[in-house]
Amino acid sequence: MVAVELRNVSFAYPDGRAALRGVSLKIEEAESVGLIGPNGAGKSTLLLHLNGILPEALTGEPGVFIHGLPVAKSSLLEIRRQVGLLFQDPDDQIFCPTVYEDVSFGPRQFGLPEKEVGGLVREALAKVGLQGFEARSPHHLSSGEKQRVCLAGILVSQPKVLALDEPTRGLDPRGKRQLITLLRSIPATKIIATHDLELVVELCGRAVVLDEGRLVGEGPTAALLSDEEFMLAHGLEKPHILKHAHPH
Amino acid sequence: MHIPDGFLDTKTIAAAWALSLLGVGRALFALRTRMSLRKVPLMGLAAAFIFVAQMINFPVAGGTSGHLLGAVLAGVLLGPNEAVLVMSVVLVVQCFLFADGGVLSLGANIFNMGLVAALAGYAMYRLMAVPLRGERGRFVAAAFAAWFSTVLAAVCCTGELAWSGTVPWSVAFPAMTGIHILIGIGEALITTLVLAAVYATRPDLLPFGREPEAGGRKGRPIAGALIYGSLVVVGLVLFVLPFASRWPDGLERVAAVFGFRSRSLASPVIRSPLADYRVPGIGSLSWATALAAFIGAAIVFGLSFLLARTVVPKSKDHAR
Amino acid sequence: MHHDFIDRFSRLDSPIHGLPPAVKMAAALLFILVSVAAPLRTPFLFPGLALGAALVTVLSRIPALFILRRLFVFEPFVLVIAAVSLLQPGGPMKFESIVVRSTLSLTAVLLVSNTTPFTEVLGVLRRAHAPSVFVTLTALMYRYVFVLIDETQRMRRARLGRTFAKGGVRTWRSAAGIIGLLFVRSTERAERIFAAMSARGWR
Repeated sequence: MVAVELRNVSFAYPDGRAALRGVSLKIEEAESVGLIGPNGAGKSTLLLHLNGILPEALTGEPGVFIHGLPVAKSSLLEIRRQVGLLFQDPDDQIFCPTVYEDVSFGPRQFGLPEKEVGGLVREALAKVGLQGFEARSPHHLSSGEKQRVCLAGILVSQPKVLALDEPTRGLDPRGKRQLITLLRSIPATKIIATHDLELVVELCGRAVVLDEGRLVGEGPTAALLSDEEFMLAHGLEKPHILKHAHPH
Repeated sequence: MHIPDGFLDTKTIAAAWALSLLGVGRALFALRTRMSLRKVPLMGLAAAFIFVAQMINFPVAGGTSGHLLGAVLAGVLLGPNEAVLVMSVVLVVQCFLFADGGVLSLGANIFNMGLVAALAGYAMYRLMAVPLRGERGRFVAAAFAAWFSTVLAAVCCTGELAWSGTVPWSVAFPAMTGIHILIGIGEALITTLVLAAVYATRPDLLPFGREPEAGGRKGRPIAGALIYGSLVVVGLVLFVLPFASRWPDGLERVAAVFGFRSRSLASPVIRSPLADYRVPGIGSLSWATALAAFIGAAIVFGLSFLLARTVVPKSKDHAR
Repeated sequence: MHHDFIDRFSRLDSPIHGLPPAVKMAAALLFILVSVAAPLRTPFLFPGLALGAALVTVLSRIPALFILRRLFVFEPFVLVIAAVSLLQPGGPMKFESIVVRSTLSLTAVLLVSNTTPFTEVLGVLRRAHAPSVFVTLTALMYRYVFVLIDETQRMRRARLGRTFAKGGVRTWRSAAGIIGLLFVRSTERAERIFAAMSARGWR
């Protein structure tokens, strides 16, 4: 079952910047795909397409399909229920004054009754290891905790697809380890845009390389990332984790 | 000029609340009918921004500092209805969270700083932008509007305090207005400098030349201006006008029925020395204040012209 | 202007903290109404109010010193008005009235805000059918005030590291520059927040 499909997607920002050029991609259900490439390659833009955030991308023929459903104006609500998008800065994403209010935002938008919402929030917080954090103010949380709140806020809607933009940025090694363990436990289809190649090696079976808006390579992670020449040609490097044999 | 509780009497509190609720209600209505969802986070952040901006110290001689009020800054950057809402939200949070300004006096504070300062200031900005063309002109217009908003808000504030019997108008007016003529110069300077900083990094964020039309759509361009204008005028009539002049006899009689009296007759003017005080060569304190206002305005104009010239190079300044 | 951040004591544990927020807000409002409107010489009333306030302070476990200290911070404007009020016929009585009424009202606000997390205050406003856009704006403002303060401090520190001379004009330009930059960043952040809200189905 194809969870995410892009058919020859091109996109240019209103100011003329071309961000994506003819990208075609298929991601199977429950797959974890790493989206890598140099700065400005279009990774974030691609992720934004999965959720219908960019209004300009919603005109014309739909090029993005989530579980067969085209991403278009008419289907936006359903798409947003199915695709959870995690942005780069948790402070942009936690916009409510308490953790409870923020995590419950999605379900409340979809009109669920308050009692049901309470249960869902509790479950989601437990899943990310933040039980009891309901009344906390986001300002007092560490960046790792903030990120987990963001994840909880997405998981609460039980999305089928998770799109993450630089999830390990700003995390200390422990935070990163916790995130990896957490992500492994979530069965949804995952697409992770990141500079953190170690993360890709650990979590993603497949990697996709973007450069200047074009899809320039894809394949099994270890093989693709070990191709030093290819990596260097696209502003990347073979990660250390693949250079040496590690005991774990 | 946040008025604490206990400084205003019941009738003033009620009148100010009535005006404020109408004004904020109008702003909410105007925005609901033509607002995209996109504006909500912008206004929320703008409120946080104004609050933080108000905290920043601008040192003045001798250890004191001046602070930005920001009503005109908000109006220029965001638009009049948005400025009303943003300033009101700031005032509400300041009241409830920091006890800056009283709870019952909140009506008056919103009227002074959320309605008068924002709307009269914005109106003055648009007015001055007409003869003062080009981008430089916008800076000068904003500066003058900022000064004007501070002074007018202070006058209304004084009127409210005097109508409540807390202070005698004859003393409070020259004192408050005089002080705020100076403070207004600071407000004008800070507003201009901030706009200049935004202009330097993201000139596209300054709606110079793209200012929103007053009022709603559907060919009712002045509805909003009329509603807001009436509220401000009613406020001025209630709080300020009776002190500046006697009401006509007919109105006096009507007012007496309701228990009001022309305030220039009401409480005995304070006994010497200030009642009879005559500023040498000028006349009563009120005239002295008016003169100070003219001087203040001239200073603001001069400074802002100079600033505008440094901010906007000749090449970029095209008359619109 | 003095700012005491973050409802410092609003999450303590006390009989007052445990009361429903709507009750506390209503009680405070009533208290303030009476303090402002009742005739000053009503027998027993004002001493009674003061006693009540003191009692609530003790029960709430908020340090009395905190309240007292806050009561003595005045905007210069307030001092000017209070001084001017003294200089009129019947001045001392007016002055007394101002001082008593404003002190009591201020105490009420301090007690409520320090025994009730602001988010609960917002909840009360929503349930009371205050205009929902207004409450949303207030919530957003409260949420991001601290973020913006942090940003401002970072900007200030960065500038301090590059400033070598103390100068009035330069300080003003620098401070205004920080405010300007803060506006630009806030606008950009607002765009990202809007994207995040939309992504989670906001309508």
